[in-house]
Amino acid sequence: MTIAAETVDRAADAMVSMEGVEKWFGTFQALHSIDLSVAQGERIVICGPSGSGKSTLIRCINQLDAHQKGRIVVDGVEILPGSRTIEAVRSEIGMVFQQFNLFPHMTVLQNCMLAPMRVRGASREQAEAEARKYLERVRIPEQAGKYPAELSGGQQQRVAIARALCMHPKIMLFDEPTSALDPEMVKEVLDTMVSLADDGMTMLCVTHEMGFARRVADRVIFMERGRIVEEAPPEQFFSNPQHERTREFLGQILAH
Amino acid sequence: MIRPFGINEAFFIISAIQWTVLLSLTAFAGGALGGFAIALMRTSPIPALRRIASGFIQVFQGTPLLMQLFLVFFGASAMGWKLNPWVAAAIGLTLHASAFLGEIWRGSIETVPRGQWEAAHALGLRYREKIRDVILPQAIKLSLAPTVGFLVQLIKGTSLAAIIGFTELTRAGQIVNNATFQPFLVFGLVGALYFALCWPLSMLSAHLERRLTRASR
Repeated sequence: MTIAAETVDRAADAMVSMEGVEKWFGTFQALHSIDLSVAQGERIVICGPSGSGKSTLIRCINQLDAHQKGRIVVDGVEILPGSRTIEAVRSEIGMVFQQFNLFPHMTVLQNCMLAPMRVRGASREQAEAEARKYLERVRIPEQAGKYPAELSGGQQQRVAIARALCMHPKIMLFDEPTSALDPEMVKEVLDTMVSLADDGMTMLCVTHEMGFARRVADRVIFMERGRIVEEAPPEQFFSNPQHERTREFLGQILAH
Repeated sequence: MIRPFGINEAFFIISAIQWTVLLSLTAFAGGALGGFAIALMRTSPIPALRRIASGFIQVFQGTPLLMQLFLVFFGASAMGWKLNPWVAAAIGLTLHASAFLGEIWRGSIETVPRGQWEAAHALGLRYREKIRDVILPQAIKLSLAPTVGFLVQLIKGTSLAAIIGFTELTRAGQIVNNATFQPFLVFGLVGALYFALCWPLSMLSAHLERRLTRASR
């Protein structure tokens, strides 16, 4: 009894709580018994070699990938694979993708207005005002009337962030948001993410930008082969990693 | 008694174009509705719907159009309904067009990158909104050229309705030929009329395709 009550409490406290989450793609096990709890306002950076399951982990949180075992609770609501109410949960979780995934047939403004109007039932005027506010926030208000193809990669990614923010998400998931960008555009996107973090947004970021991790993360998580290998505050993670594999990985990505 | 091929004969054939056009448009409109449903079923998250649509497509792609018209025409009368050739041809061609347009549009829907679906999922859009606001506007652009291309096939396919006795362009030609016995002249004219209908559409389809290739560069 006591144990069960405690579990519920912990889940209710946390913005995201994962317990024993497992995920297979066919016979390949992508996630092994993942336990992770993210408090409100906490900023987590997840790194690890490619194929380590880091993207899969955050994609399970909004069920772009469905887990097969374990419990995922987001803001007190358990996420059940194949649930018919998944849209409601997703609308509270913002996501930014490596490839931006803006809607190419809509202007920047329309990209930002679509979901608030369709999902939240916002009026056109409300949605437009909000969209302009968040475009201002990511510092590209002047691009509102353009189509995504007319923007640089960095600008597109900032629009993608604004589009997610227009839904007033409780959590933001970032799936390698700067990996597809030319080097000179990485900074503008990271700056936007830093300012978001400074405002207290709960964030889970899959990224190899270790400078960003050092600056904003409350915790850095290192994953390998579908397991969380190491989990520590950045100062400890970078200066004194506990696991051999973490040291190797950091050696590889910090070497250049 | 053999008649000479005169202005009345030519006019009879030319005026039969209206039936070819009407049958094509009917089948195209019906096929567009049916094809839309088939394409959505074929790309649906529900496996049973995907299987039904896939079976439908396989049957109609794997049998000749003439057999499909026969089956509707004679099948209906075997079951005690007397369909006139116009209705039978319209139903047969509609089913045929549904299968082919469904397959073309399925392809277009699946060509929309997966990231577009994922972004729409992540924003919490419901299925209807994902399809209507995100996927279809992109898929329609991709599907225009092959859709017009299929319309050309469909117009030519309506000539088979002549065999179940519907008097469209081809059957008008047969009737005139039986009276005048001038097959080269008669079917030359019939062929030229089909060409006049189909060629501009083929050009349009090619133009749409070029525009799309340019746009995607």
